[in-house]
Amino acid sequence: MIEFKNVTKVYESHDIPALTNVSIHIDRGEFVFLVGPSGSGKSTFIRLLIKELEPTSGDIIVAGQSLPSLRNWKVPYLRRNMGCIFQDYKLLAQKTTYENIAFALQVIGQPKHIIEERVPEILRLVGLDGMSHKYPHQLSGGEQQRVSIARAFVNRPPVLLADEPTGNLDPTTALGIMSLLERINELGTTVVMATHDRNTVDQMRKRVIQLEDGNIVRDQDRGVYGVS
Amino acid sequence: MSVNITYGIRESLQSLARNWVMSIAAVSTVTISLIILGSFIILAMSIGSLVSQYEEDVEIKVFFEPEAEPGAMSEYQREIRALETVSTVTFVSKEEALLRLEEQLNDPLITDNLGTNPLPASIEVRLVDSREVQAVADEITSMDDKEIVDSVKFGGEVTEKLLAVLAVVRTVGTGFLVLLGLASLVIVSNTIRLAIFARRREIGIMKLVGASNWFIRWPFLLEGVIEGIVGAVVALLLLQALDAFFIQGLLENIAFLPFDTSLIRLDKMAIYLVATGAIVGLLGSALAIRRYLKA
Repeated sequence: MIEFKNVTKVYESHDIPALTNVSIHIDRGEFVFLVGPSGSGKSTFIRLLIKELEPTSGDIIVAGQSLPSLRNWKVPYLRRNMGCIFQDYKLLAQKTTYENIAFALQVIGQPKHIIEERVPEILRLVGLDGMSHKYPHQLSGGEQQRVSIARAFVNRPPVLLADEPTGNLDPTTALGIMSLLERINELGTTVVMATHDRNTVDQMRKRVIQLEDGNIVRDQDRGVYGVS
Repeated sequence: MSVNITYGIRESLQSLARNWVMSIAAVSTVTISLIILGSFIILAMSIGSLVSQYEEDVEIKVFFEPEAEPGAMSEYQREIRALETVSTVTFVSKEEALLRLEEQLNDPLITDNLGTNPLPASIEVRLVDSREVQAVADEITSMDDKEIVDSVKFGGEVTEKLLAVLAVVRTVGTGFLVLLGLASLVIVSNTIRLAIFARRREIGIMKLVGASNWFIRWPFLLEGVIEGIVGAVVALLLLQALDAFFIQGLLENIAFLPFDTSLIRLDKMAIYLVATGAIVGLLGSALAIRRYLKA
């Protein structure tokens, strides 16, 4: 599903590479944690996957498609196959829950009847029944993250990328978000989640890829956050 | 698809309203540029009509020496008529010339007062193409082997001067237009850039969920085009007012200038002005988007 082949990424403004010679293989349907301290290369990993960044060298393959050789105009179609969620939710403040989710379908040109069918469906899945007319500021952090997950998943992408999705949430709320991600994973979606939330990783016992200064230092099935 | 179109149009209009100060600035710049473009077109058309009126009047007059033989004159006339560049040749005898003068001066007694007829016989030559007047006049002069011709005259000087003025108007006008066109482009481009900046979060999310580049782009392009077209329409209305209250009155008062005011046709210019406005708007927003919406 996802493959990194000797990927190195050097930012122009930095001397030290953000990722050094990273090779990794993630299968369809896997749930993978990317762990490591801030600046270890987790976000770079995610941004490379949605072709927001180009690798300095090496190849990244998603669903059989090499990203560095993917034409720019095809990038939107790549992203339709990858839902993304972030620590700051990235919701539009002037749109309601319903509109925020519908927006994701609108902008990829889905017809109205599909939108009217799918949005309530996904709201039920993420447990936000009855919240559809609320604005982001009327929702708790956990609820906002659920809206963001709903938006990322409403299109049923085969891959879901999460960059510190529980970073702003208390442990109980985070747990709820994690069980939602696990549910989505069980529906067949590959989930890649960057985090430095030790509790979450230790409870889930999924595959753990640990990054440090741009290098993979550990890749362990049913792992824990680690000793450091 | 229809969802996309209504979505895009709504987005453009909302964005125009949200950044109304910059939108007005962009529209006015386009308006000013197009008014100047329109004025230059009117000026050029007026001078052009003057030129063509003079050109229609262009004829070569060949005045004979008083002692020229009638036989030599008619042979010379035949030779001229045989030229391909010549359309008509009319002989004006001494008597006819005097008759014309009498008519012109409205004084039938002039013949009596003069005693003798001082006017020379002449031929009037009209051309197929009035632009060749100099060449044909030279040719006619060179054909005078019996030396019966006193002088060859044609009204080319006025035409040539007008054409020179027209050339200056065109050059200056083009120069102005290039500068103003660039100014309009920059300002439209800045408005759109502000509109993009105001919606950068939304655009970021659109890119994230896989909106195609064209989907993101075209409402902004539309916004630029709307600004250009509105600017053009305002310019047309102002030119119309300028024409009605100022130019037409002015031209009536300076009747000695044979301007053909019917040639100032704003309705014919409208399509060009609106198209120019739309293109400036489109290019301006394309410029802004190119910089901000790299995939």
